[in-house]
Amino acid sequence: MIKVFKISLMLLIIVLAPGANAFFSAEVSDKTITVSQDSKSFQSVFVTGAMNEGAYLVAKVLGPQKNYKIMEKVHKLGMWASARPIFAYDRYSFYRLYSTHTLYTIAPLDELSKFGLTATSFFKSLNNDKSTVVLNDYMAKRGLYNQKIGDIEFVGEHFYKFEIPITQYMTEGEYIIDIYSFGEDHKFIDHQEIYFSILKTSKWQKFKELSISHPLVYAILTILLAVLAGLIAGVLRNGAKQH
Amino acid sequence: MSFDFFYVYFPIADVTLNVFAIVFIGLLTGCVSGLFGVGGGFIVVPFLSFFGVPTSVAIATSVNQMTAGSLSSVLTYSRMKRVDYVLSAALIFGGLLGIFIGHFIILYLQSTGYFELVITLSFVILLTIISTSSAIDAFKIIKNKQPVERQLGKFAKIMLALPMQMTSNSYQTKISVIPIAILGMIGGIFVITLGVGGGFLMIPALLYVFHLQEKLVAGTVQAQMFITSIISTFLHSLEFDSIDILLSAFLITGTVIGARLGAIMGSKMDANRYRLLLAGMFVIICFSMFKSLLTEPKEKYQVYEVMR
Repeated sequence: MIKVFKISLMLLIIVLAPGANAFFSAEVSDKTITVSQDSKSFQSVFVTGAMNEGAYLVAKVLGPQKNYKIMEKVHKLGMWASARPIFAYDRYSFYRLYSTHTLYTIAPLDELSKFGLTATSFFKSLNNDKSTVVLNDYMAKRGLYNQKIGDIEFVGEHFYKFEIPITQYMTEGEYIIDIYSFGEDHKFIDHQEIYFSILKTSKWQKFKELSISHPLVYAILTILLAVLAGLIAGVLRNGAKQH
Repeated sequence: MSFDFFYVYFPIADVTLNVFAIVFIGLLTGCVSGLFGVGGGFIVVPFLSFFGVPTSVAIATSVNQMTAGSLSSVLTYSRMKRVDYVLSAALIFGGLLGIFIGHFIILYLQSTGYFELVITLSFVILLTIISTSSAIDAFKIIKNKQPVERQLGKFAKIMLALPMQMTSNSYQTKISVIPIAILGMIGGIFVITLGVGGGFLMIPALLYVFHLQEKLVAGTVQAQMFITSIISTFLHSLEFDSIDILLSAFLITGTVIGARLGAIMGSKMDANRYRLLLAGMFVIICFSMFKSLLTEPKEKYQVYEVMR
């Protein structure tokens, strides 16, 4: 309800100020997405908003920066073995672009590149070492670095929306949706950042959290489980022997 | 009806598996242990790896399962007064040293990236040895040949005469702690690095090399395995963060039921006559593991998210 009111207010301002520069608002359907790892159902995040007539929009979605360990399988002495691991630090875990129109009709590609709004500029910004090449390929295969630009759809004259599908490969953390507006003269006007978070849960996630936060307690719990099972097995075994 | 219910996401192993498959592995392990007295690590680690569980998690989970299995055995043998606690203490001392060494072996192998290769190759070699010896034993039993009585060898005599002498229930004369501790140390290295108890090595060595009384061997070794597996569980949990308690719970449930089944089956039939089947199973596991080393992987790169 609040969301509808906010968008309506934005739309009112836009309609009442037709002479003003291209102006837009943006809202995300869910600030926090809880993804259950026990289920295979898919979810999406919707970005909706209002925009002034004649504006062009390009949105960049960036996932949280993470550290990765890359193990390469190499063929040695007729066997496939892992080589020394390579580490890649502070890499974006997700990258995807959305736009209302074909990119080159919105603004010159050089202009868009300044804001990282072309796939080429995003990949150029990364170090061109082996880890980057492997990581880019890994991310692309899982749809995490999507080079295909998604559509920002118009709903009526002043509203727009686009969908960010949440896949099982998307990591936990805060995602930034950076939306840029360009005018009819192809010049950059404004940008707005909105955020959403992915929280991964499972029925048994508490165990993982415990193993990280209190490893000693977790270790004792694990041993107690085994000892208890051992005692039960011992009783059952002796029962079977007597039997 | 949805079968999703039977699939559980294991957060530490980071895989979704059918719980029945895990309970079945436990059941098979328990049954084989109950029937043949062979440790479960040789079944648990390869099977979990085939299901996509990371090798380090499979090993750590196997170690935890070993705690349950060895405790139940120690209780049984202890009730029958078939545990030599003095000799066990010497084996445990060596075992703790072995865990310490094994811990550094794991760290080194993980840093060089050769962890999986070395573990898989070690399993292939050990399974080849065990399946061959099981097959030889089986043929001997089929042909009704009695095992050859062996004299204490020169090597064993020298080893047992080393300094740090002790007395135990199993020996009439004093023996050195050193060779027993060395044996325990090798067992400890096996426990922490491969998730196998080392009984396949310690039992024949104590029996044939050091001529320990046959009725005391299994219980004494199981007592060592119980302590070393507890310490290894601690290390795997604290240092490598690789024990999946949930996976372990399902596996142990199967093992408890399997051990009971194995004990009942063992009391009704001569398990030794089925040793050839055991050897066959180990050959298949060994072949599958070796094949995985020779087959080109579908993905040449494995990428893991890590904390800095």
